[in-house]
Amino acid sequence: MRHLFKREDPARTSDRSPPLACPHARSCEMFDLLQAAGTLKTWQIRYCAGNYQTCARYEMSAQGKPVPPNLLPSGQLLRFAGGDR
Amino acid sequence: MSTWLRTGLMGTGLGFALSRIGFSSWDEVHRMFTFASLRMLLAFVVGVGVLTLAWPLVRHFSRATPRWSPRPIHRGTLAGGLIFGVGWALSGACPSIALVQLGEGQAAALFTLSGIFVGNWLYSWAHERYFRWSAGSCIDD
Amino acid sequence: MIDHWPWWLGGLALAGVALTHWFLLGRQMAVSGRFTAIVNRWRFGAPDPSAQALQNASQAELLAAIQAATRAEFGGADESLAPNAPASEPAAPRLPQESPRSPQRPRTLTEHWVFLGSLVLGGCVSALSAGSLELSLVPTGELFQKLFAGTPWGGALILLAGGVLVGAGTRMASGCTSGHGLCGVSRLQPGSLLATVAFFGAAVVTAFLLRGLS
Repeated sequence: MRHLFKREDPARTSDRSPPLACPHARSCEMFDLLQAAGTLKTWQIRYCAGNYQTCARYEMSAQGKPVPPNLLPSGQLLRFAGGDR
Repeated sequence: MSTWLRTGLMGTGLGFALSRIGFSSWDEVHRMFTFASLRMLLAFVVGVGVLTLAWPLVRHFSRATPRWSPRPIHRGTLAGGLIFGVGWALSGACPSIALVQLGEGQAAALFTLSGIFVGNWLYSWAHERYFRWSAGSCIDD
Repeated sequence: MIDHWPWWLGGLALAGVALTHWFLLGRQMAVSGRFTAIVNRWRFGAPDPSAQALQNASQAELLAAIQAATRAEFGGADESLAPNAPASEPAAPRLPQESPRSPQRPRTLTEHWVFLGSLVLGGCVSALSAGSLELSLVPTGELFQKLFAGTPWGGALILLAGGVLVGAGTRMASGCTSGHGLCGVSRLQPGSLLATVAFFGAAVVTAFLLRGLS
């Protein structure tokens, strides 16, 4: 029964390298998507693990602005091919 | 059930409960904060207690890991909490209550409600201009 | 007069509403966030529709979109050439098979207004069914009258000022009684624990000061 009462696991990903400097990384909605697409490392190295202040999501959040759920760290919005149907 | 219907049901249920518990009465709230009556305080404690036991069960039985917004301590937590507390004791209302009071016919709640929107707006402006600290997560709930 | 519920019924109701909110709407119950969303709309305008559109994407379309975006950003460069790349690392282990979820569906402005409006409705239904629905110009209760109704607009100013503090404080602390107090504390979230102690403490001190003034 004890497992029912343990603290919520803050890290939803089992991938812990490289160490994540960004304080938002563990709850970032982009994480799941990027990881599933196999491209997480690429983005992490550029943003989450180092220069996270340049991440568009972090920047908008720190300004108190609503962060679009599909905002990529580069500032581009993630769109999919059929999105303009 | 459509989202609007569900949303409307939830708000109505919450409003009804808050009204019946007594949170929409300035006097009752004041009694709670001066410990003249422990009824509402106990209600709050019971509510939190039941939820503390319930959430792990919900997580355990959920098919997917619930995506709950984390609430870490950040630079606005303490000061914001203190400011909110003073405001609550003065107005007798937290954000939901002002609306419940309106529903009960307390027209003066319009002042409270206007103040809440103004205060939220003011803080948003001040934070963007002067504070720029992270609130710990991008999820806003 | 509404006959207020006993403590145990009130407690069960609060927990019940919070749990039902989770089951029906898939999110933690948090009211001040809705005010924040409305103010955000005023200050920053409507969100880009692409976030809503993503909800219609299939898993394959989502992953393809990400891969395309990654190529566009990094130009297909070998990531091991990136400055801080460790010498060699294992491939990123995939998540235990929960298929990747698209970001949460963004809520519309209308939903927020519906929620706030239904809070009003809830209060109305409660008062109506207790036979105590009446238009009153001051908050119910004698204590408030005693304290503030001395000057004609004194009461209104106090409510306005209190409201401003509530609005600013809840946004600054990222939550109010429902979000932090009920849901956050019961989930043992550190920010909620601190915020709840802070707002409760401040309210108690203020209430005693007010009582002292009367």
